[in-house]
Amino acid sequence: MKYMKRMDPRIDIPIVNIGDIAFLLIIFFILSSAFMRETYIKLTTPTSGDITRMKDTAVSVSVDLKGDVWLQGTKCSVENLDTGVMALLEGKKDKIVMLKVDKTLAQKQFGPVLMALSKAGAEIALIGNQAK
Amino acid sequence: MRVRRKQYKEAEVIIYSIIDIAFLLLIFFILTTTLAKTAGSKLTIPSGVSDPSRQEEKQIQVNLKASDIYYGERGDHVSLEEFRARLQGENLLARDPSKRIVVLDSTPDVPYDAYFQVVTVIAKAGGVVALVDRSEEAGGDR
Repeated sequence: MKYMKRMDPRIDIPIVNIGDIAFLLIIFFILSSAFMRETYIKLTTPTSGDITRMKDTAVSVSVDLKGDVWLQGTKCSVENLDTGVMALLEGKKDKIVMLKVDKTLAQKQFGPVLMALSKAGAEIALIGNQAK
Repeated sequence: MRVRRKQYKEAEVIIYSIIDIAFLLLIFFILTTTLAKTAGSKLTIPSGVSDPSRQEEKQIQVNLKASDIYYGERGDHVSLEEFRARLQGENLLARDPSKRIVVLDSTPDVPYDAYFQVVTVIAKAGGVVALVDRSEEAGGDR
């Protein structure tokens, strides 16, 4: 007896469209993402209910757990902070500088940073966590 | 004469590898993107050196010693809630910006957490924070 082999229809999953979606998502993430900058700087910002959401600014200064000052993610001395900030703000309409300070630091550590930013003519935006 | 037709091969672009790259990029972007928005308080600090004529004007004086708040010329010891209420009572937003100055003096042991709470309350009330510079012997406020 002769058996006839059943011809299975070839299943073809169209993955070309998935590629299109992936590219669209990539474009979305490229345009909307703010990269995790300065994640290596160890600090915990304070929490307050009196702060509001604000957009990221071009210049950021951080003072970490040890009291080290970071300008745009690069270690910097307090003495050179004002000149560094001034150079970054030069020609910019927006003079806002984001300041992140570890909540455990004492005034003697963050006070000179505030003074240096004030001397540089920056508008200081103190960054913290919004209380829920 | 019989002319033999030339057999054209169907051109095929292999896009499967491109899709793999696209997905790798997608994973990268998902992992590196921060979706949390930045929250903060904009601090208005008058720039330059102190103006002696301004010192004659009535300014709100706030002293911070460790985590304690002392309000006004008499130096009343207040809690953060009390400080907020008193500052709102001053109705700073209705005043001229030059008359919204809140002089903030703090001892070197004040933790940033306490300082931040006070500054954000002042900023929310519409105050202009004048920091007292103790680094100089003259002790002029900025």
